[in-house]
Amino acid sequence: MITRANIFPTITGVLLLVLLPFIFQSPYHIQILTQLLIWAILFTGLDIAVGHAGLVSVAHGALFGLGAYVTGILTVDVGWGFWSTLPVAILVGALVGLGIGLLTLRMEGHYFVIATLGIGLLITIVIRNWTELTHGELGLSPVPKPISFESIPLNPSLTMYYLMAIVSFVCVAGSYLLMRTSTGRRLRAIRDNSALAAAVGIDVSRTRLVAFLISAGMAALAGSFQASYLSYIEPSIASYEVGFTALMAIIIGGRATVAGPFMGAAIFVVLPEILRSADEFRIITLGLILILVVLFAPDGLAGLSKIAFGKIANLFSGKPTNPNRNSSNVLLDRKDAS
Amino acid sequence: MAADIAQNIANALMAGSIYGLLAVSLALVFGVLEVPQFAFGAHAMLGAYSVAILASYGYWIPVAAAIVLMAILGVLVQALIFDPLRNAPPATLFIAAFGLLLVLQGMALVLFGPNNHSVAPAIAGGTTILGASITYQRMLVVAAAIIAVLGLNVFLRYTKTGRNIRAVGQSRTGSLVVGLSPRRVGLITMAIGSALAGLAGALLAPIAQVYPTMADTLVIKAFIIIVLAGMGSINGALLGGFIVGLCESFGSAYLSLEFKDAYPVALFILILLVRPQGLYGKVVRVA
Repeated sequence: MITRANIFPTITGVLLLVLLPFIFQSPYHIQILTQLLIWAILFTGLDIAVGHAGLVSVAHGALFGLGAYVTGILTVDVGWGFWSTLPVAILVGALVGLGIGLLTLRMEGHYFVIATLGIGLLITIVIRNWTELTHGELGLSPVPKPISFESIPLNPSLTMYYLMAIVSFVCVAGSYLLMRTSTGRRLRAIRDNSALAAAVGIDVSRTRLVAFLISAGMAALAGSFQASYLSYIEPSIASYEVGFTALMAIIIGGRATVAGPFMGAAIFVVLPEILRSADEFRIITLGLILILVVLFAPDGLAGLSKIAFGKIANLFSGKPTNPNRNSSNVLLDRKDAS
Repeated sequence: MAADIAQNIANALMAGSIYGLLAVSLALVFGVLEVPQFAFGAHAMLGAYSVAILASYGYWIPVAAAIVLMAILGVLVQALIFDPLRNAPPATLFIAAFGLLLVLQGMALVLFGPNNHSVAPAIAGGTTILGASITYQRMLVVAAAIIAVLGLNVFLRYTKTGRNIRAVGQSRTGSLVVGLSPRRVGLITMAIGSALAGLAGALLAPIAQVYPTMADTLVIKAFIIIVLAGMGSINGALLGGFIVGLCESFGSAYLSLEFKDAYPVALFILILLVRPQGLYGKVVRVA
């Protein structure tokens, strides 16, 4: 599946993942980069639903929290190791995702967003208040690390970073390859015109469900690693703010792209660091960025950089610029006048 | 027992009228402009802050100020954000509204700080009806909400501007053909919706704490209500508000208080199981 078109970005991406810890050497920066990668997994998972399938879900914050809590409860209260909880977390996330998908099968547009908002809120409330199982506001700790660090000579934060680099690479590659299959093409056909897709014989319901299930499973996987990364979890990990953050990151980063989720994650990790001394302005800045992106760069940062790179490349090759070729995103295309 | 039930109904009416009023503002803006104005929660919060900050002028002058200020804010956000996005698809509008919510909440945090404000009730004291003790402030909230929605009904039915708003809601293209300006009507609609949200917040201020994220779950409930009521149905939204109020009040009295916020959502999911398109939604078959 490596073609001439994607080999250069792939190598750049992998090199970046490998070399970043050499640029930012302090353990603190490496921890921030690790968090960035965990977010990027969640955002890549959500992008399968939002960017490729056009299913704008706000429930993924709750699914992320669900994955974190499955790992948290099974390691802290039941005594399992981290790796044996991971498949359970993915399975629970995927099954709940399937449930959400079944409930919202016929819903489109606003109705779908609001339904996922409601269902996500319900999951959050259950996690917050089912104290016998989740310990409520007290939270759960300590969630063990995936690797026992005595066995590896690297320092702990660097090991965790490279583990997350591998996991995020696998997730991104998996999502990329999935979108190259017939399922991916069917998804985009449904996103672009569901009635037409149904008319040419695509099983709209089934394809939507598959996409939502995979997307939910990936969100739960990210949550599972988040629990281990933080080692302490409490209900706010599943709050609807996480769901909105994920959605915002994808919109700002750019949908249905490989780089978009990473750019979005970078903004959500770097911005609080820049605004560390003025935290109360963080929310305003985020909101403003969001509004400006929606108004002026509907394809997100990845879309912007694609257009910029296209212009530079064409400058050298002498071809006319055609930014429209890149904007394949119907979510933000204009509606019909009717 | 009877007194308990009466008390629960009284609580439900009070909470329901706030939910209903906010849902009505959302339903108006959604029905006419197809904008899911998620930020109306923040508009309500700013309405509540207006009452808290201007408390030295009594209660009614600040309430009026809240309505006027929020109407102006409505015009501003429509002109700057939602009018430029008038042809954008649902996801974009949702995100823009959420961005606005963040900006307004962030501004409230910077201007007023994270601490809770409380507002003294306009009328002290209360009475007992059928064994339910009800403060006058709560009766005032219910009355004001119902009067506001009745007023909106009269306005939409019997004034020229109101009829123009309904015309744009029915068909944007059609209203253009007969010489209306949908963009001007959009400004008026958003101003009225925003003013109603501000009123909901101003009414809520004396019976709740005022802080930047006070209306977050409120606005989610209001959205659930308008999906159930059929988006755009104004009187359905008020009725839906009362149903959600009842559901919460009896759920927390007889089931469990911790899950108070979960009952309306659970009801919503149950209804989705039976009618996936919502109570009044149109069935759109895509596959």
